[in-house]
Amino acid sequence: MGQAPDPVKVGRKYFEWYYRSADPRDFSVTSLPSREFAFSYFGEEGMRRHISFGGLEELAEHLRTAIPRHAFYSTAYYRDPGAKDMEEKGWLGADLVFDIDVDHVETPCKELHDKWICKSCGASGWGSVERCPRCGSEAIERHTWVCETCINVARDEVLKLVDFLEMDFGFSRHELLVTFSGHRGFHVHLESPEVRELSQDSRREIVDYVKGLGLDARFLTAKTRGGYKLRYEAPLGWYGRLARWALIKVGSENPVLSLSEWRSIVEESVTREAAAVDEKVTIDTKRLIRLPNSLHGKTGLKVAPFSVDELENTSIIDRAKVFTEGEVAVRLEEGPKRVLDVDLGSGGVLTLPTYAALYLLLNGAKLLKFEQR
Amino acid sequence: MKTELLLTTEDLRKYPFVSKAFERVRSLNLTLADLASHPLRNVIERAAAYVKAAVNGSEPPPPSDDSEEEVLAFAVALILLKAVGDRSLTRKLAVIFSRRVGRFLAGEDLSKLVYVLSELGVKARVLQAKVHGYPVAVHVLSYLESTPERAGHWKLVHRLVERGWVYVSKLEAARLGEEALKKFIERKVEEIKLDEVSMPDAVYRLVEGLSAEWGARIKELRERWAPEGLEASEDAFPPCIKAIVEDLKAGKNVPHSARFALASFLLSIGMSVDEVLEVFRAAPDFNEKIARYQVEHIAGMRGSGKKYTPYKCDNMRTLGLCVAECGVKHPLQYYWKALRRQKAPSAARGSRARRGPAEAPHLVEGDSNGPSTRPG
Ligand code: SF4
Ligand SMILES: [Zn+2]
Ligand SMILES: [Zn+2]
Repeated sequence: MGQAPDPVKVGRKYFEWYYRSADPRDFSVTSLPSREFAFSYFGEEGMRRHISFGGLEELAEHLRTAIPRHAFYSTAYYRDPGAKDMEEKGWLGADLVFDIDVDHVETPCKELHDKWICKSCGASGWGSVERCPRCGSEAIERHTWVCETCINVARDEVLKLVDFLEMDFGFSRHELLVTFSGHRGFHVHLESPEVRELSQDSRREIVDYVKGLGLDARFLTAKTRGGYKLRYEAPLGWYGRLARWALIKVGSENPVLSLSEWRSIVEESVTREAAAVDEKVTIDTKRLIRLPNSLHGKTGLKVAPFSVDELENTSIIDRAKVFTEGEVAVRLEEGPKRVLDVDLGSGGVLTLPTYAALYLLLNGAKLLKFEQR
Repeated sequence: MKTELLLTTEDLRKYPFVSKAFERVRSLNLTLADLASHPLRNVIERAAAYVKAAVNGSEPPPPSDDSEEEVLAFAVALILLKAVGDRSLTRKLAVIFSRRVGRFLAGEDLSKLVYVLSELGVKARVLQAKVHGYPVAVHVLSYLESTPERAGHWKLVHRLVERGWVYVSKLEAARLGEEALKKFIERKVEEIKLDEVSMPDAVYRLVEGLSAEWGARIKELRERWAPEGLEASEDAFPPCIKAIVEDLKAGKNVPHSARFALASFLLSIGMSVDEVLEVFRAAPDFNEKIARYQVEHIAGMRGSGKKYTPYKCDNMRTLGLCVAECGVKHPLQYYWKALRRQKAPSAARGSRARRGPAEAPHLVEGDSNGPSTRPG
């Protein structure tokens, strides 16, 4: 019999090793002195905010010595990023960012790793539910995990987003910084000067666009003999996407249809082509977001940066896993059946790659043993 | 230079905000005292006439025949606005002045139109050949910042968009210019640094007079749109707000965004913090201390002292809180309308009523910023 390992002690030891051996340049952030940083530390509740650094070396030094469990920086630029008060901070602008997270997307694998427990009636089960199927309560406690399948679903959403950003908004894929969030999704950052001062209203409109929100058949079509046709026959914007789905559904790119038939094509097209971004993150111009190449304190995975091309043809998990050396013997009392790229079966005594064992430990699985081999 | 070719002195009368005009003002090196003195008195009077038009919500006086006078008067009008110091008055002048400029723009040839747009920071180009009937392409980010509406045919999802450009008609381009100018004027006024001490007496008195007139006007508008003695009436709440209240009463878990929407709405219709708390008391997780802190924060009594304005319908829709199509832009607009329909005498009808509660700008202006700054 082993004994229950302490995630704080063990986690800190691994994180310390990582931050001590990392190349400081990995943490470089544009306009670093104008950004706010925030951290939470092992064994400490809450987050410490309003931290600023004069330069990269200072930041790297902090990571090396304070060993944060989570590290964030602001998408905003401030005159005085260390000030406590928003007014005093002096907002100067903010990157345009998108957050894609499988929390909001249905994936088949959730049955294998996610659990819910109803706080009202105590019912529980695998998978993910909005409300309790037994009593209807929305007070649900969730234990969520991530596997390769989830990450690939999220990656596909990012690629849809990239299509909008390139084809419609005219950004180049080289301007896009994509990072794995370290957990269940990705962040896409745009730092070009022209986006910095975009108002929240404009950012919201960009979100609506990539999510296909507000698409209305009445404005997309024009009346013609016998029904309605698309207002423009052009492979541009949502008109191009609708034409594509019209072709698939009814065999013509611009058929004469009733408004309600057009509505169902709009719906279909939104389901398939829209990118599932979390609007709150994009609209918020004072957001904190994970520092690239920092470690996620609930997974031990790296917030790994990717170019769009790499995203298309590299294994995300391979790039995100840090602790690939050695194995750990664990005794898993209760937990998911699959995480990352590792099958756990029904638990018990297992010998796992270090990164998988650490993930189980940090994310609160019931472990009774943790022995580095 | 291109500028010289495109804009004649005559044009400066119509577009006294272009950089060329501002340079002219600067090169004259005049002080307010110079302007207040006799031969240049016309400038001040003209500037005051602009501000008065804003106070009364009437048409601005037509541009002066003398382009120099017009350019100076425009600059001085902005200074007067700064001295009065009420942003809703600035907005008023921005609106009526921009509307006129929009009409001028619609009558220009395309290259001049696009030139004036560029002066306002709107990136646009004339197309060699029309695309689907559209003669002008506007950069998508400029389009988003200057679009008069984010609904209907202006909504970006309904536009022809290609690699960063949105195709627009000439009239639409003029309209985008109008919107951009509104923001431009507000920004300019904001940027002015005023030294009140050295302000000539005559100008100072003028500013005082304008402030008093504006104060009286605001009071009149307030009484018209939110007549005193009218209790906050739940019947007049828009469907979205009603839905949140009902969810609360039903003990449902109401998301943070909905709570924010509700609290800011209730505060805006004149409820006190305590009254708002009564509404929230129904929530299953009600905690008086936390709730009070949050509501006071939204009311601007804590933190930055910024009073948060309630979400517009656009925002509500994005957040999934909109539950109907009411044909209004703002839940408050719905409320004031419904309230007047219910209780007010017919006095508020007629031409002013047609323009609707947007006439009460101090109630619904500003960006809706929910308290945020959570990690993503
Ligand atoms: S249209 Fe506006 S007022 Fe009506 S329900 Fe939607 S958000 Fe509320
Ligand atoms: Zn239940
Ligand atoms: Zn999965």
